[in-house]
Amino acid sequence: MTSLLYAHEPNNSRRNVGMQSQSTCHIEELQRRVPIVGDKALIDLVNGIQVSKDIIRYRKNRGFFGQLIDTLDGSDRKRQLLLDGNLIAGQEALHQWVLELTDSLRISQVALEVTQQSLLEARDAIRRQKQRLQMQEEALLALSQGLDRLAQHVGTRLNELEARVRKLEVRVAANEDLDRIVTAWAAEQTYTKLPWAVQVALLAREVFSSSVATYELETRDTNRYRSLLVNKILSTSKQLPQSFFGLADLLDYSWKPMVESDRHLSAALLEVRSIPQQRLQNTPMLFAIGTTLELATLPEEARPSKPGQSAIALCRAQIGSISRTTDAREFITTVIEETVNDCVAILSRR
Amino acid sequence: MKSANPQVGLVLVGGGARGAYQAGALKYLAEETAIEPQIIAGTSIGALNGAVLAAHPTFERGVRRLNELWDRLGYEQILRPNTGTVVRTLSYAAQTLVPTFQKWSLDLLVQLKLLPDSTAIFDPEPIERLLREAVDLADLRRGVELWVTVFPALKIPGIDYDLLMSLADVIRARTGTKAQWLCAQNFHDDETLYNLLLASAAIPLAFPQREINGQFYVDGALGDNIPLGALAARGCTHAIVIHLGNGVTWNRHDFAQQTVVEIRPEKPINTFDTPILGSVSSLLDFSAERIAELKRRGYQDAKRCLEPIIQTFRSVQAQRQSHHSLIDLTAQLLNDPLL
Repeated sequence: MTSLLYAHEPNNSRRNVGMQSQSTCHIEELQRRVPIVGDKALIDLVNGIQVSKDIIRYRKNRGFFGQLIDTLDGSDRKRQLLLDGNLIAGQEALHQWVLELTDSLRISQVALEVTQQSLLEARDAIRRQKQRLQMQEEALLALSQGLDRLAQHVGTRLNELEARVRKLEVRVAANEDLDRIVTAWAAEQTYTKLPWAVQVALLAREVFSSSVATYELETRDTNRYRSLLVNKILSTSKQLPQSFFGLADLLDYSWKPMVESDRHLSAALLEVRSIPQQRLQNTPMLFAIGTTLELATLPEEARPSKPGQSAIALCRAQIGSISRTTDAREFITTVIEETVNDCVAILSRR
Repeated sequence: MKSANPQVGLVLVGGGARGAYQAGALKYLAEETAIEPQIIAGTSIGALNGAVLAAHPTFERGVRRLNELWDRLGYEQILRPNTGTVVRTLSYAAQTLVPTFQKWSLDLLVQLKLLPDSTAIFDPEPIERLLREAVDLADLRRGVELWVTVFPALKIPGIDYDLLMSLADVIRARTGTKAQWLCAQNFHDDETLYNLLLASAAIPLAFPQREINGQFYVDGALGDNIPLGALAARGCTHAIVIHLGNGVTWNRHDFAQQTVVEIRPEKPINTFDTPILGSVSSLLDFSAERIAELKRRGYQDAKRCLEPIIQTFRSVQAQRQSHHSLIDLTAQLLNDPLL
């Protein structure tokens, strides 16, 4: 009848819940025991109220003769019995309905209890999970800090290694350049036919214009290649005087044997006129050599009789003091020192 | 067409012109519910209403046609006094007062078809014509199973069916003679079937009794105005009964196996409250205003009776669905593996 009176809402399809637990069986057993009030009882209850109202209304509205007739033909008694019957049927339907609702409520409470229990379990599980997560988070944080430290350490180590590698590269390059230049010079492939003092100046300039200067600049090692070059020159050169000598004499002896072209070439290579005064202050020996060669290239009528002596005088007058006597080691060392300092100063300004 | 296992039935009780009330109530059922009766039982005007419904392929179309017919009835002279009865009454008076007046002269008029052979107050011709026009018997035989209540009339040869016989039938009905439920689909002869329908509405004295297979019948309301028993006998489990009277003493609890929805008039259905006269007057009042009023009230009363039931079932079903859903979800929760 219900399906006829109005369109049903679609029933919630029972889902397959798989294997049933003991609790599930329990709740379904309870569900089976719920007395379902039938359509007939419900209709008797609701429709019976309307029928009873009709009977009562009819009895109220009957006039005197109507009441008399109803009493005489027994219909009034029938109506009374009908009312009583409807009342009883209604009470029975209500009783059934109350039972259904009570049992339904009981099952709902069981279901609610199950739900609450599950909720508490879920909360516990979430709480445990949260604690685990917190621990993991702390471990991750510690790991992250460790990794940071490690990365920092590795970075430092890498920087150190890179620095070492760089230093080695620079050193290897410096060694190679030094070897190449000195070997070529020792084999008399360079600066041949030049006086040894000029050779020393040019050789020092060549060596410290190469990677050797870079090595000094980056490593601040001012001793290694300077002394090495000094020793190599001392050990290689055969023209070096063994005793002290006058610087002016050395200079003057040096330019005289040079052919004109070598004199001009050397003067050009070691010229000092274009060098700023500040640099010249630190290179008096080179100034003296360069000035000597420059003076030597003057025409004979304009050339001083002793360009070396003149150059030293000019140096003393314009640059600073310079030793009048020296020996080979001191001379070579001074030339190299002045050249290196000048080259490094130029490089460091770039 | 007989249904093998009819579940939902309709019971249309008798009540003469008050049958318009049923048309209104049925309109509500057709428009607002999904009811499609599989079996109908009717008495008197209820049988005629039922015949119109049963002769249509769908309940909704039958109800629409029934309402149209009732609208027409208000503008047609359905109750026409029987001239033969007037002449016959005058003839009896003449026989009493004028000894020379012979009964054979009256019989001659009947034989010459100048006078109808009937003692009924009303001429049955208009209602017969309307029935033949409204109900196609072939459709009826194919339609919803229809049971008609008739009461076997007392017929004594040589005695005309008059007031005495009518009183005898009433007394017989009160003393235990039972009405009969006849299934319209069991009658294959058209005239017999029309007679069956008309017999159910043959109010004693008002309309002539009808002969069906050698037995005379009158209005079934004498014996069983609310033929739910016919449906119960067929195994019908759910029925809607549309009453045409106030304070009807019919007891639904007499049918323990049937679920019954009663639609009863809320306000007095008789035109006035005088006992017997009020009832008789309302039986015969086919005025257009009265029919419209009864239809409107029928619709309202059906709504008043069914809406609380519908509302109750909606609430109960919603509660049960919610309950089942709760059980299902709880079972699912219980079977869900622990975290």
